[in-house]
Parts: sequence; C-alpha cells; structure tokens
Amino acid sequence: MEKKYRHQGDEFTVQIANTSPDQFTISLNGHQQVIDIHPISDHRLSVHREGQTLDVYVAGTDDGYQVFINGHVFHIVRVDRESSRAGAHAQAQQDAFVENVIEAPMPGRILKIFVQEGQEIEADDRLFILEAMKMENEIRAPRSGVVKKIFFQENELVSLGQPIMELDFTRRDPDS
Amino acid sequence: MKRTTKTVTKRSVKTMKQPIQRILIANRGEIARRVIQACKELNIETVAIYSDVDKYSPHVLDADMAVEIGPAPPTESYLNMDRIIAVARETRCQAIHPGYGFLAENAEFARRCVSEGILFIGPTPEAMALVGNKLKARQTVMQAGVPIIPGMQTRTQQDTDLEKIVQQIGFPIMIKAAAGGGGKGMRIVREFKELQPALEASQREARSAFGDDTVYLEKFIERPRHVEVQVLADAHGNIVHLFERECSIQRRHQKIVEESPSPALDPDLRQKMGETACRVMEAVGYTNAGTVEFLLDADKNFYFLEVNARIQVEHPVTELVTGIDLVKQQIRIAAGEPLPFSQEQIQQKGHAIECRIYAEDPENQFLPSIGKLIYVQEPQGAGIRCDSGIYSRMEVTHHYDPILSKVIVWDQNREAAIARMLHALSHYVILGIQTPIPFLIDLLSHPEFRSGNLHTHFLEEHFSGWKPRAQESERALAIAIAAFMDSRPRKTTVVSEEQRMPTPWESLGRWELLS
Repeated sequence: MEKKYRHQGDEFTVQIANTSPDQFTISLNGHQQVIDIHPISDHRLSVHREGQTLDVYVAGTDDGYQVFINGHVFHIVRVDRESSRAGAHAQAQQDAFVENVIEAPMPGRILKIFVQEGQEIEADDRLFILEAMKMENEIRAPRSGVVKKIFFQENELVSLGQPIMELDFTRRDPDS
Repeated sequence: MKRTTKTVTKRSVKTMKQPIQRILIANRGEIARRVIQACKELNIETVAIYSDVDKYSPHVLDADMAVEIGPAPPTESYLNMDRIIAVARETRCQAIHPGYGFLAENAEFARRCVSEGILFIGPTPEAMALVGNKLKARQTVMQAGVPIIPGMQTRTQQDTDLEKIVQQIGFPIMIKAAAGGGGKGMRIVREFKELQPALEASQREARSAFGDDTVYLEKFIERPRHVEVQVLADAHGNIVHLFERECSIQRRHQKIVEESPSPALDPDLRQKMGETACRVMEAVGYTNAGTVEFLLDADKNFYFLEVNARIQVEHPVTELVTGIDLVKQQIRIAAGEPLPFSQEQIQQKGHAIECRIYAEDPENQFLPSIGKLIYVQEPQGAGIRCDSGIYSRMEVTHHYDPILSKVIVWDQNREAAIARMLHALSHYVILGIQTPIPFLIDLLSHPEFRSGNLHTHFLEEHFSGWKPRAQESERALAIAIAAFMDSRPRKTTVVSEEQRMPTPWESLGRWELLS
C-alpha cells in the first residue's frame, strides 16, 4: 500500500506492509526499515526500531496526524490521491497562497498598520500590530515584496483565520 | 526582621477572631487549582467561580462548590467585582484568594473586600495601592535607602521635558507603564528617533491593559539579570525572606524559565539582597506573601524594580527549595496567625527550575495557539511537579492568559535539575495545539544556559529565528507512524480510558448539605 505524506514542505512516499503481528516493513522514499508497532491505547504506541524502544503518542488532525516522539511534535500532512494526481503545481499554488496572505492566528484587534497598499517592503519590516490575549503582537514581513491588499483598518476586530494582509513577493523578488 | 507598626497589629487582633472555614477563589486555571489544594489541606472549603466557557474547567471540578459569574470576557466575569463579592457573601465565604492576574493587584477590590467584612488574602489595600504605583513605590523605597535605577521619578509631562530628561539619563532608555506589570507597556529605546513611536505604543498598551496611560522613563541596563526575592510578612510585624528566584529568561518581558538559587549570587550577595527585600516590604507596610524584584548588573550591583503584591506564577521554585507551602502561609497570615518560623530557620536546599507552558507556537513567532487539546499526558516521576489547568479534550480559548501549566523540578544541584527538567519536558505530551516544549528543550540544552550565563536578553541573543532541529530519524519514524495509522481498519468511536473526563465524583472533595 503506497501513501504520500508531507512534513514542512518535504514530500514522502511510503509503502507499508504488515509482515507479522506488530511487524511492519516500511519503505520511506525507497529507504526500507522494519518497525515493531503496537497500539497500547487510542493515542499511545509502543514502538521498537533497530533495538531502540520508543513511547510514541499520536492524534489525528483534520489533514493528517500529530506524532509525539521524545518531546517533539511532528505534524504529518496526508497528501491524498486526488491532489497528488493534480501534481506539485496545485501544491505550489497552495503553499504560495498560505505564504502570501497573512491570516489572523486568533481573534483580536488590529491596533496599528504600518504599511499601505502598493508599498514596497523589506523582509522583517513591521506590517501591523495585532492585539490578542492581552498582548500586542507585532507582525513583520517574512520576505521583501509589495503590499498587495489590506483587508482591515486600524481598530477593527478580526476573527480567527480571517485574511488581514495580502503580500506579493513576485514583483520585487523574481528569484524566489 | 521585627517591626512595630501599630495599625498593622490592630488589624491582626480583629482578624484573629474568626477562623477561615470557606474561601472563594477569584481565579481560574492552574493557580485556582493550586489555591484549592492548599485550602483542602488546611481543611477549608472552597468556592470556585467560573465564566460560562469555563463550566467544565479543572478548577471547577476541584472545588467543593462553584458558581457561574458571567460570560467569557474577563470584564464580565473574573474582573466583575460586584458579582464576585456578592457570590462570596451568598456562599458565606470568610475570605477571597485572588490568585495572580485578574483582581490580584487591584487595590479597589481589596478595599471592597475589607469594607464588606471579607478577608482579602493578600496585602492591605493601602500597601497594594502604594506598590501598585511604580513611581510612588520607587520614591518610598529610595527614602528607605534601597538602590534604584537612574531615571524619572515623576510621570511624563510634555515632550520638551522629556528631551531634557532623556539627555540626563542617556540611551539606552526603558519606557514603562506606571500602573504596569507583566511586560505590558514596556519598550526599549536606543536612539531619539525611536522615542516618540515607542512612547505612543507604550501609552496605548498601558491604557488598554490598565486603563491608565501614564508611563515613565529610566536607564536601561544592558544584559542584566532579573533576580527577585520572595518575602512573607505577617500582621504581627514579622518579615522574612525565602531567598531569591532568577527569572532572566524572558520573551517580550514575560518570564519563561525561573530557578532558585540564582547561579549569579554568592552567600553574601544573597543575604544582602534578602535583607534589602525585607526593608522594601517594611517601608511599604506590606503584609502577606509578596515579591521584591531587582535587576542585577554585570558588576553585581542590584537595583529595586518593583514589588509584586501577589502570589507569583513562579512561586513553586521557592516552595521546592525551602519546603515551605507559600499558599498555605498566605492563608494563615490572612487569618492573623504569626509566621511559624524565623529567618534563621529558613533554608535554601538543592536547586529548583520552573518552565512555563504557554499556548503558543514556537515555530510561528510564538503567536498564541488555541483550539481543542486532543490528548494530554503530564510528566511524572521523582522530583517532578506539574501545576496544570488542562486535560485531554479541553478547549483552549482566546479569552484568558495563555498559560496552560507549569513544570517544576527539584534536584540536588543545578546540573541535575536541568537534566531532570529535560526528562520531564520530553515526557510532556500535549497534542492538539502548539506549545513551546520543543523550544524549551533546546533552551535548557544550550551551553550558555547550562553554564548559568543568563541575562534578560538571552533569548534574543541566542534564540532569535529559532526553528526545531531537523531530526531525520525521528521525522522518518513520525511519517511511518502516520502510514501505520492510515493502514489500520477504521473503527467506530469508542471513548477510551484516557479520553474520558474525570467525573465530578472523582474530583469532588469534602462536601456537606447546606442548611
């Protein structure tokens, strides 16, 4: 059975075969390993790999899994067949969209906006201040580019996930 | 230290008459649970209050009784003085414990409690009002011979004045809110052109956080340590300190890691700072548990910063090195009991470290992370304490401060305590929202942290632009686990053992029928 997953922009093709009870032969981008996996409860797995034992925790999310190993949490995103057939193009578009549009990470109030539409910005320039959870959070430009659209005015309330600002990195920075 | 303040002694006689049988806890989250634990151990009944989104919160489950006080916004619930005092009266509570945050340092609330005949577990309204005004506090302690940082002792007036003052103090300069705390309204200014925008931002933040936009300026000390001293003062004139906590690891002036003892102090300096802290509390007429904050510069000069008139988030590190339960002492002091120990009887033993677990995303500028906690498993084991306000399947909302829990460890020395904290953090499972645990693991592993070379800009200096270390073998395993999960046959939803919420019966404490 072949599956595709993504983690922080890297894509992985996985083949998994259940060879004997708790024994799985897993091939990850062609690299094969034998892992002993046994669910202890809904969120906890006993894992043995190459003589190493691991206490692993897992939770399903909307698009994949959160996997906890030794204090580190990995967000593994499932790449389903439809989108993978559409190819890397759709993925690139989606990535670009996520990067270009700054969305509200949580409900809050736009305290101050430092830029105007059409303004050229350098990486790390201050864009706006979002007041949330009683703190002022200063949002800075991830890269240099141009402010394409500002969806809010100062003092307006934003709710979770609402786009606040759209940036265009292509006009000034054709290389990236 | 013994002092003779007549007004304080008189008050104690009045409060001695009634033992406390029931306390209302005017807070939520981990600190409300901490206070409830202390009450139960003292055989005192507890009344929790909650906003409508907190009905199933752990502090409500822990308490003997609970009363809904309003909708989620703090102004309509946890800050609603009228409602909280009415509930205290209706439930016949003799005392209110405010925890930290919310109404803990609101002198008006303390005054209202006193006038309603309810014990406020904290300092007197007068002492609280005095230390709550940073400018007045500085003037008062300066007169008592306590060193302070060069700067303005009066509020900001006009911009022309400001220019002169700025020249006198010299850059870099720190702007602070007079009514402030918790880093709100604070800005560092390094050159004149930054001054005006920074002043505006500070005033804006101060106005929205405290309803008072008064700010002041002072000399900014480069790479200082934040070292604070825990003090207990009873109503009979006894004042003792419980040594220091170093809280230099901060982000945006919010403490993240605290420890005791401070690696920067030797016994002489420790004693000197402890005695100075007692002198501060005596000068301001303080009773109950409080903290005196100092900045310590590279030459080991220390300067008074402010008094925190409450139990603090980081109080557990002091509890672990002294063996003294600070919350129980707060309650006993409020009930008029004298301190049960003298300064000589208090000892600092071993080393304790606390890490704060906020709902924030270390990979995304530490912005708040909210949502449903899918699964939580707290670290356990020798020398590990977890003060927590969360459980699996609980919703973390945006309404309140983002602190989820605190991990505190104790061991015989600093090196062992760091190793123990790393063990605890790597066994703290929180799935569903982002937490700074991976960041904290890297922080405590850093050679400069391990060698104790701390200062308040440590994170900017060593950890700006932090990204989780690529651990290819763990990542490969995580992807294998995802594939394993997807290869399992889908099953119908069964509520498993660890997904189950504790029933009210499991967390119900002592109860009785109310007549």
